[in-house]
Amino acid sequence: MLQAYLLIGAALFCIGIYGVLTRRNAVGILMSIELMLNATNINLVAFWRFIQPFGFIPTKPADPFTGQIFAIFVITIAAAEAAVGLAIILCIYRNMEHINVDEINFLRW
Amino acid sequence: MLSANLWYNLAFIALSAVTLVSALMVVSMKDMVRCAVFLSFSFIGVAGLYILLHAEYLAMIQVLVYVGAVTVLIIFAIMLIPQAARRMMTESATQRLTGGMVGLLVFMLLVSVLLRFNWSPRPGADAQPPMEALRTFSMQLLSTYLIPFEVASVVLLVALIGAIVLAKEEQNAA
Repeated sequence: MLQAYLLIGAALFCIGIYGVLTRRNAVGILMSIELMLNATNINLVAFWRFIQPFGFIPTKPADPFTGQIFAIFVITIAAAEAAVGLAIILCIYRNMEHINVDEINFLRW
Repeated sequence: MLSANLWYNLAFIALSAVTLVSALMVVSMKDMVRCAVFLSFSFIGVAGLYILLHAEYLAMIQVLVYVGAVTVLIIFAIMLIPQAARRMMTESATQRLTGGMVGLLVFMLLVSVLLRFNWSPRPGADAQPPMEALRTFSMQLLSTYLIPFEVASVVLLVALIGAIVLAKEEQNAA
């Protein structure tokens, strides 16, 4: 059963990769990144469920919920990233009248 | 017992189908509003998978944060960007080909690794969670992971301030 969950996670992650590589619209890329973060979360929770069960097994682990807590931190960072990313996209739109990432080239070095 | 297992498998197949089909819609639709709606469907499917994995609290957080906040945030951003920019999502055929090939390559790599390894679950993986699971969970979050928890609040504060500063209209435009 663990393999099935990992397979779903891998498929979701690759759909996200496809979206990041093909989308020209910055918001579309942000949505694909959210899909990839969800795929990693599925993997984390699946590993937690099947490799480190609840902590009533004979050898009781010290921290029975590490996988879930990791997933919660990932969700937190993803929410912060979405907020900042959308604000940056709005800022770019205000300056350039479009949000096509292949035409945004005003970074100087 | 067998029928419970059958229902579990059926639910798993249905939820993963919802997740993957909606995700495919997200990366292939032309209209960004539809993409955002399908994104929320995909998030709901992932929340269902969390419930199947006995991570009910995480499923609730997923619905609250992703479906309730992130999707709404994305829809708000789309609304602030007029129709013209919204429709400019067309990708060239070479882009699709390259993206699809890279995605397929990574998928095949991951699957070959997955199938090669013997993932034997630990004993006790089939059991129900104990009743005080959520209590143990919160104790662990607020004891072992107290410092990351506090740092996460600082990160959220910084993101809040940063988003406001970035999205604010410039006053001295004239």
